[in-house]
Amino acid sequence: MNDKFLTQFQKEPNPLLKASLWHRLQQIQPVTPDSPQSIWTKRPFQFALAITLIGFLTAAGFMPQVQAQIEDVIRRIGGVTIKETQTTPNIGEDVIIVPNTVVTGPLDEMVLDSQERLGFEYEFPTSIPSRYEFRKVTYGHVGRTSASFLWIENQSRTGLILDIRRANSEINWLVGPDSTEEVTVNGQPAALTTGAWNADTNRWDQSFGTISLRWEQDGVEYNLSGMVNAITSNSLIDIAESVPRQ
Amino acid sequence: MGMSVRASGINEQNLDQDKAIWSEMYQDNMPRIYNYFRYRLQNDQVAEDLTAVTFEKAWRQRSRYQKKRATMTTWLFAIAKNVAIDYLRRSKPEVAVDESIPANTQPLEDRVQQKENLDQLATLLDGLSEREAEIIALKYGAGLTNREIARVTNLSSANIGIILFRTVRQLHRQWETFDER
Repeated sequence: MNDKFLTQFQKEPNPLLKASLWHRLQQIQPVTPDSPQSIWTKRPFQFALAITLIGFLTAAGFMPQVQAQIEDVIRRIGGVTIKETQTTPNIGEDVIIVPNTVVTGPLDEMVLDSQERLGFEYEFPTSIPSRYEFRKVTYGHVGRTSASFLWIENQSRTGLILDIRRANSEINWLVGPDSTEEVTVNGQPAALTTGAWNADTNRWDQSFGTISLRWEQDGVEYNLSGMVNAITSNSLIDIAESVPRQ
Repeated sequence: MGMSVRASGINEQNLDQDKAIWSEMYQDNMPRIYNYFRYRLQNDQVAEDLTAVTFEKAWRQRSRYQKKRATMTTWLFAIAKNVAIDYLRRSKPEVAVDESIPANTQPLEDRVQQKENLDQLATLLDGLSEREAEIIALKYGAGLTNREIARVTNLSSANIGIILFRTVRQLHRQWETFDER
């Protein structure tokens, strides 16, 4: 059977897509498997130990000094609400895959298009480093509340992502303890976060190399993320400060 | 294309605990899943997006993977197949096929060549039934064996062989017609 003509359309995927998708997977939390048996019948000793520990920890939790340590910390930095927590988000929750809409084209057209889709006008950074090449905008289908612009850096092949949404008072960002510091953008407070959630350890991991700057300006919340091996925190702040003020 | 290593070869390991094995699985299967979608939908951008959706689903549910029930390849392509079905059932995508090649990302000649290839592939696969198109995508896009395709599609290997033989013969005639033009 002569079928060689059918294989010629194969193509290597974009190495950037391959690398960035793998990186993204590391930050996705796995679903906890369903247990076919109760833990009591499966591991009676561990169950008894767990019950004992729960009793001890519950009692200890009433001690003020312990209680202060186990509480999550909610911080509001420059209009951005951040919750610092030890608890990995979404553990055990059902998987919901939200379909995305991806749009490509010239950046200036994409900015106008995003304002129409999001239903509000906003200012856009005027100074993105030239080594970054604009690729696409992604919108979630549910609510269409945010637009995510992606650029790719030529040498490191890492991404620069700018998420834009209307600012509100909800807790939008769950981060690990001691991962966020307050910096200033045009003299206003902003949140600079390093690290990401590690799917394997269910812990915040500072070594992931992700750096994010979040700030609010003129009723719009901006989240600018890159990789520390490709962009510095000062460069992120420079980009943020290039957003014209109304 | 680096597709020689089969994921089924790592099936004996505890996949949930060994990140290195998942990494190898990803390196091996990502191009195959991507090309499966390219052959199935003839759109590079959509193929990239659905590849991402497939691996995100698989990654989230990796603790539910049971090696006794299916090889990693079969499991992954079962997810990819459902992702493709979901996509085909949805309303018309916002990125039209003719506009799907992003501007400014590749040299013009490459983009023209890429578009010609996808158009040629679309023309070639036009007229196939859903089942035939699915099997062609699994065979020539993803590079699966007939046995692997049988597991993904719940058909027998013999049946896959017959369908492939007839479909490729039909496509080959079309192909020769192209060449004569």
